Amino acid sequence: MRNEAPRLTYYIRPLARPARRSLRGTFPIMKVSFRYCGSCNPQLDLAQIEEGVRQEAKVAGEDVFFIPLGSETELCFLLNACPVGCADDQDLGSAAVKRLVIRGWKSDGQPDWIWEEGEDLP
Amino acid sequence: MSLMTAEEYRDSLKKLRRTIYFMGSRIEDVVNHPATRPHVNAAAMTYEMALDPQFEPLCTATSHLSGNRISRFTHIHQSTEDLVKKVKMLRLIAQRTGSCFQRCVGFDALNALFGITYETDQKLGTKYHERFLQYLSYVQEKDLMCTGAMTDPKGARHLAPSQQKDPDLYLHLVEKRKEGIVVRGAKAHQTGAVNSHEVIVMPTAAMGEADQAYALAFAIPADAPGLLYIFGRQTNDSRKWEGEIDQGNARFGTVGGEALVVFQDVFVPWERVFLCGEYDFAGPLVDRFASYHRQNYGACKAGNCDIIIGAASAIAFAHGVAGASHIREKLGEMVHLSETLYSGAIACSSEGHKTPSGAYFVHPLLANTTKLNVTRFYYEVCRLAQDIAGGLLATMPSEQDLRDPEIGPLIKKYLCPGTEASAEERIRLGRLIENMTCGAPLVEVMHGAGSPQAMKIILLRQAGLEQKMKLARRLCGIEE
Repeated sequence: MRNEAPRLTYYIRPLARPARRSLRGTFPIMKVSFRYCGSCNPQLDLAQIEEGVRQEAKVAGEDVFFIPLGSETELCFLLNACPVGCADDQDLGSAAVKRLVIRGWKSDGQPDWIWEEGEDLP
Repeated sequence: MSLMTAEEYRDSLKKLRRTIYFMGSRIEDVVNHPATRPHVNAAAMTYEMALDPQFEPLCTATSHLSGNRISRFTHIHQSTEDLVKKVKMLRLIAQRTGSCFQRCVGFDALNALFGITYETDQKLGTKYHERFLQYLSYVQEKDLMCTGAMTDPKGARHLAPSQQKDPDLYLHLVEKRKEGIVVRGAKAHQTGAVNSHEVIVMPTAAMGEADQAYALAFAIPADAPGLLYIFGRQTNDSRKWEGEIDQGNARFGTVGGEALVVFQDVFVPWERVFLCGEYDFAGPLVDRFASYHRQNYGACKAGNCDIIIGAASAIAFAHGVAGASHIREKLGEMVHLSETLYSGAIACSSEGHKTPSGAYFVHPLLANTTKLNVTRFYYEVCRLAQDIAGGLLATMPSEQDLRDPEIGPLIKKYLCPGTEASAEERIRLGRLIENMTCGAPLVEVMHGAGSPQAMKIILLRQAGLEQKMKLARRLCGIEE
């Protein structure tokens, strides 16, 4: 678990370890998907966060392939827009998860958030 | 997956051959006619968002019949979580349309009939629920938009259906045949009727034995022979022919696009009849539908309030008064009112319960309280928005004058607020506030899903006044 400002550089960190494994051939290409909570809170643009993750992976040259959520997903980003956290990890099979957790709201109205890794992240 | 795209929805409407009148003429193409196009766009948003991964968790659900992913608007609530998701979805969509997207009426009709057909069968040994399940599967598989038709014209309000001078003032049975029934009458104020695929008819009130012929529930395709639609007028609707800015919300319009639907001896096959003469179940069906529908108003109206609050805040910035304490006070009050509505919708959903059919039902007392609040709070939100926006709301020049090469520069000069905002931005915000706070939307929040008195009746029925009196007596020392 990290407690850092949500800059783009942090989106990519969960991808780093699986990507290194890919150099050893364990995961030729990391298949990454996104699951949304439903986005009923307009204060947070989750589509923009997804785009940030995609761009981060591209800039960092990560060996990843973004696919629609399904049985082939190896790493799933769970995107939540409020502390209720409706994006759950049900029916994800063996996929690892990286969860955007909103812990509350700061005094300036901005979300207080962290990326939380699932137990089984490689 | 049985989900239509927004374009497939529009195309499917073009295939329906129905009779719609507006201003003395036939509307041949509801998708492109200026009067109906905004309402089609608003309903199309429900299809578009269901296919967007970002909104899919709220806008879709897993069918308990087929296990398939379906639109939430065709889903039967399987838990209180489903009821909460419904509320969140409605607010979410309203934030994008700023107007009614119409599909909740059919949604509530499906859920009400699911429970009531089951309970009717349990008591009377009828086979309505089985028929209804077949119909529900069809609606879910095809991702159809249904309009829920409940409100009869009613004639003299103090008389029961069977006592009316003209029997057609409540929709009624004309004939029973081997293959089905024939019905006649009308349903008024039907939201989304001209751009739905199916019409689901329910009785409008509790009924007695003498009203058997009026205790009817059924579904028919929207282009069934004998159906005729008379599309209603709205405040400032002629602006739909006059450009974009003056409409305020040109893409999605305002409220739902209501119609008077006339049933001229319409034939309904038995497999689509869900109640026929069982008058004991007319009242429960009305109550079930009404409470589901009143739940909605704390959701979609909170979504509309989000837009109104945003527009009021933006126009305060444009006027350079956003920091004034009285403006902040008013905006805070608007947020308080809006979130109170939303709180009610969430509460009646969280406190929902399982019915004998397995479907979940909202807490009716809380749902009716929510809608009653809407009839007051939404007006106050609109009043405050108009207060903040200023008198220009009622005196703004037209888009034509703004675009005129001679007059336009004068408008841009004299209506420029002197801040970073332009005169056009100021006018656009003003028109949006006008669109959402004047005329038809106010009447809609007052009477949509039933007039305030209908809620008061349920409030008093459910409040447990006897128990409250006991509590008071005990506390002040009066012995029972």
